[in-house]
Amino acid sequence: MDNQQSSSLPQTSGKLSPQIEEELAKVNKEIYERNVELAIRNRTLSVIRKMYEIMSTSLSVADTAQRLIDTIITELKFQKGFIALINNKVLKTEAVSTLQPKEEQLIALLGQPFRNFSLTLDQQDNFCVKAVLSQQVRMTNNLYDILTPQVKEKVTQQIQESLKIKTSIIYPIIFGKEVLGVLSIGMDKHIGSLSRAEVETLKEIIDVVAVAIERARIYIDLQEANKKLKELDVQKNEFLSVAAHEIRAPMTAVKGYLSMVMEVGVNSFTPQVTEFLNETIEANDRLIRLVNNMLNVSRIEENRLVYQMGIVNLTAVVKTVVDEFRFEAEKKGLEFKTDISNIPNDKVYVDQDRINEVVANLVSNAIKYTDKGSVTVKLYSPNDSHIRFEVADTGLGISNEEKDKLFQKFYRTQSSIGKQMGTGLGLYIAKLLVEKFGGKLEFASEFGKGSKFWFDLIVKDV
Amino acid sequence: MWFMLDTNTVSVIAKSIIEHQQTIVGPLALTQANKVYGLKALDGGEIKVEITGDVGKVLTELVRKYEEIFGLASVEVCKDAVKEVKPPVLSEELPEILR
Repeated sequence: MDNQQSSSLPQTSGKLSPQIEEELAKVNKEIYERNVELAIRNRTLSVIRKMYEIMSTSLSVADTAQRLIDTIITELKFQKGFIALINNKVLKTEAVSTLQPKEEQLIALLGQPFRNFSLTLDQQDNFCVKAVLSQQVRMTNNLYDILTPQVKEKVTQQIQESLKIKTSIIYPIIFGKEVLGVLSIGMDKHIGSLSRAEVETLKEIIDVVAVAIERARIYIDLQEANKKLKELDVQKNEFLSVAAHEIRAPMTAVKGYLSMVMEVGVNSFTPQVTEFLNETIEANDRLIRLVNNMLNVSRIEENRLVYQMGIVNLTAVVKTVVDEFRFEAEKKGLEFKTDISNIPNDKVYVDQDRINEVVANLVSNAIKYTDKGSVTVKLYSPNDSHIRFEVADTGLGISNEEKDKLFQKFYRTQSSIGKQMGTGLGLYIAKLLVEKFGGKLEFASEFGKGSKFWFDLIVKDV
Repeated sequence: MWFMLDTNTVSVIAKSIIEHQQTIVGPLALTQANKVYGLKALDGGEIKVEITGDVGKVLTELVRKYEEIFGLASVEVCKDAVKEVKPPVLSEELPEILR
């Protein structure tokens, strides 16, 4: 029974040989040592994970700092700690680890030295200031080094005893090249008595603290910037609205009087005067359109524009616009092509006047920006549930740099500046209107070759 | 040897050592601990340790049990475990093997 020929391990009385045992013991120890490293790493990562959770759920600097210091002190079982941050060259307490009620009372009697901590950076006797200026970790067995000159030495000794702090470590919180402040940790043992896990964790967490604080600061800055931008936007819209109203009234009067002048003097004016008056009326009309656009923009953005929504035959709208612009295209020598084939269902739920405005704007732009070649207008069903309006031209096209800005308010392409072109509001309004009706205005373009604009709308079952 | 720590403190130290060993070798930590004469360790969610007899000898034996299988690295782990005990224990109060 003991002659197990099939076994490849040399055996002595059913036990492994001493060599094998020795090898196994060696392997065992190596695996153990690796496991020790993993266990330390695991502990560090567990604390860091909690800190990242704080980062993703805290927004204010104060809240972030408080939760961080509480987590560090609790997880590492240190006595107390605080985070102080620099603001206008003053180092001030941002958060102190939560004290027990009895500790709070005692500290209150001693004048709240941690919460009222405030130092200028020229107070170089203080270890926190030293840490900031040297950007290096400082350690001390005397709490007075951290609280000087704000607290007397005798009082500091009382605090140190009551909180059982033997050693304090002060870490500068550094983000990039900037020192944000300090993290101070008080422990009930000397630095040499820290376990490997504690040393490793302390080394790693300071970077996370820096990232967390900086992130919270950036968030606050962004919030304030956003608030200012919103206020400016509201002011600008109010100004536009008021200015437009104030301008439109006299301009409408000008148009009226000019029309009357034309009527009265139509037979007595020279051709040149007639031409001048026509140009004046046209210029005035353009200005009125601009003012109306500005008012519409203001109304659309503030949800004040009243829409007359209804089921609209989109084919009829497009045909009307095509008829309106055909002459203009042909006058420029452009081939004006249309493909408004029989579409099974062209009924859409929109404001007829506004969709007319959108279609007219796109067709008008295509003609305006094309000097030779063609403009093609299409209306078709890309699928069962939608209808697509599309206009393509062989015009100037849009450069890559301008594509991202095309739908911005008041943006005019470089090719339009210097020419008798628009105000930069047409596409912006068209985009807003199409989106209001449940569609999306899109385009494709190649600079020097031409552009194509289109939008899809959901068709309605009638 | 004149051992100064009381049974309670030694139980706390032993608990810390077993917990630290658990993070490295898992349930083996408890198995090895229970082989120590005078020590009883139970894991009902949280480790509970009862020590009887010569507390100094029990503590030393516990460390040796781990050293036997896992080598000197495990002794360092035991020392680290002691460093994290609250309130801190003075080095002079510990058995030689843990200093």
